[in-house]
Amino acid sequence: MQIFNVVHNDGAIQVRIEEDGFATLDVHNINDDEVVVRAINQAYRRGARRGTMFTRDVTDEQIGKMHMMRSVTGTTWLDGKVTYLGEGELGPLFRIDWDEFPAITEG
Amino acid sequence: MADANEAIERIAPKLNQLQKDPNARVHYELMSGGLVWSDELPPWDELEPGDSNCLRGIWRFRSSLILGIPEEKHRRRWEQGQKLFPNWPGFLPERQSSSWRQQVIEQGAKLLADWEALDERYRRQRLQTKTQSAAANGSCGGPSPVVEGRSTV
Repeated sequence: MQIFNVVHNDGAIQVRIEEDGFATLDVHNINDDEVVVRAINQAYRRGARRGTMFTRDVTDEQIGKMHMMRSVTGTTWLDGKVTYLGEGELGPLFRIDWDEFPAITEG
Repeated sequence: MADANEAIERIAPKLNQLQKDPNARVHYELMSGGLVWSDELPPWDELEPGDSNCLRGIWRFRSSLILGIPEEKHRRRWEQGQKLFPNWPGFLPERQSSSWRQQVIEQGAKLLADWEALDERYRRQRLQTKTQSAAANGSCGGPSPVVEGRSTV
């Protein structure tokens, strides 16, 4: 199993990739969308072919509402299915699942 | 996954030892909805997933103070933090100042828009790849060498 942190602009996402190509992305901090692009693309380059990103507790109401809207309507994000996991201690929890892991054109 | 209480107690000693960096950078963090200074966390390789997340309520509460509308649901976490790691740079009074108000509003709106724009960008990328794939199939009469939905990264 590979485990690494993708760090950009003082934000970070931890990536774990299993031998079978399943990736788990665990959000630390997101200060720009570029850290997400880099985490996804690095995971893909290192062999991820499906996976999940966990937001953990979301305390920002706006992004929480957007995730909730996607989970209720079935609207994907980067072709991943957004699922509401319930209320955490600090706010709602979500996961985004990819049956086919995305790779995003950079630049 | 450790719960937020466990995580905050575990990292409290580390947070309490952090020193203010006069050159600290400040960003709006998407999941917390708060400003975060670069000197408010130890290096990422010293943290487990969940360690920084337990601060989201604190960062959000501080931003609500900046905006002048305290979000009471996060006050308990803020006060717990002040007891557990009172020397943390994140509690500096100047970081609660209303002078940050515009930054909270503008950076928050921008990051949210960027998050949605990234999805739109990916949809366009997928569409373009499908179009190219279909064109290649049509002209050559055989399978495309491009794997659908995959661009060079």
